[in-house]
Amino acid sequence: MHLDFEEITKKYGNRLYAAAFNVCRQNQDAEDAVQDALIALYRSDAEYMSEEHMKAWLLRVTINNAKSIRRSFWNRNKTSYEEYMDSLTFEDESDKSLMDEVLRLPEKMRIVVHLHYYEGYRIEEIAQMLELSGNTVKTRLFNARKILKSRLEGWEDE
Amino acid sequence: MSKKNNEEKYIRSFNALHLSGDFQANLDKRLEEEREGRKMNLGTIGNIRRIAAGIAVFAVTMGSFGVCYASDFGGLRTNLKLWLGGEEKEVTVVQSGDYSYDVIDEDGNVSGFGGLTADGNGGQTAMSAEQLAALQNNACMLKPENGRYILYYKNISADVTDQIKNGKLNIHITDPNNEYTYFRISEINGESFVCEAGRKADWGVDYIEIDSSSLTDDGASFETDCSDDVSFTTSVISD
Repeated sequence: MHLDFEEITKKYGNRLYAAAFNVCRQNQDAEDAVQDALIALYRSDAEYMSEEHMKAWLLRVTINNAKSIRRSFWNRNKTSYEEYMDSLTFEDESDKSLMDEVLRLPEKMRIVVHLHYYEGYRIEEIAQMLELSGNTVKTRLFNARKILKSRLEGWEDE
Repeated sequence: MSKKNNEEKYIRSFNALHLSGDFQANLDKRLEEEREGRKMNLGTIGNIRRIAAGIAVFAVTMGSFGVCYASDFGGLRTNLKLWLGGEEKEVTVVQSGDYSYDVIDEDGNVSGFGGLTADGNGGQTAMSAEQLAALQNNACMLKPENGRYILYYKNISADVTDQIKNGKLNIHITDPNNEYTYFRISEINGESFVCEAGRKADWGVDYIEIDSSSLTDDGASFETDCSDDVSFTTSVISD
């Protein structure tokens, strides 16, 4: 099946990138993870039941790619996290603090937090996507919220 | 309320992340490499391009080779009806190579076609003149005329110049005699283009509907034992 990759990139590219960056915290690695996911989609020739199905597939593959990149020992001249964060434009200083604190969380917690708050997935959906039990996802989310509440002034109790 | 507030803050924060300006170009390059890699790299036979097994290949050489008589051509001949430039013509088809045929119309104009299809055993086999004619009769042809691009499909023609964007055009024609009616035309460059036809719309692609109300009833139907996943490609490579 042939997909319009320009359209897909326009529609989902930044969201996939945000998920990848959440995992690997490095802009070039995150872009590689997204690119690899889109190439995997091209190769897959899969038929998708719905747009939601394809989006979920892309997110899952992107996250897995980002995890693999983090585990590799490939060294290259990359932009540092601090340099990259300084280059971003935030609406408010508190937005930068929030991102910093989320990205300080352990990787296992940050992915769950991102899928929940940014992508709007429910616990069961996150569990399915990450192949975890619902209880594991619930626990990670609960612990992440506790940490964010303790570190971020604006983070509210839920 | 608290969850909504946290959610809004989170989204606003992470919306600061964007792909770099180079991303699309890099992706396009990789996709192109993937496409090239999918084609069996066996070179070309004249103007016919071979594509990986499982996909029927059909190539037409546009442009005249001069006026000749069918009797000037040796080899096995078949008489067929072919839609050319919006007209159904009686043509004589003469085999000119392992995979190719010369096509001579009633006025002596010569063009050509040829192609391969999957043989069901993982290999490829040459298409017959009848198969190629059925394929061409159910495919779109794009022709530059007086600075405009005219699309031909059987007896339908349409000026599609203004619909072409970045060398691409996606159209749908309703034809009960043809299963493959979703056409994706790309690499449009003068008389050269690539046309892929599918049984259904590709996800995420907007198709322009072409008025098929003037289609005649006696279009050749294309029968295939290809699976749903197979599409065929019409390549027109100018000399």
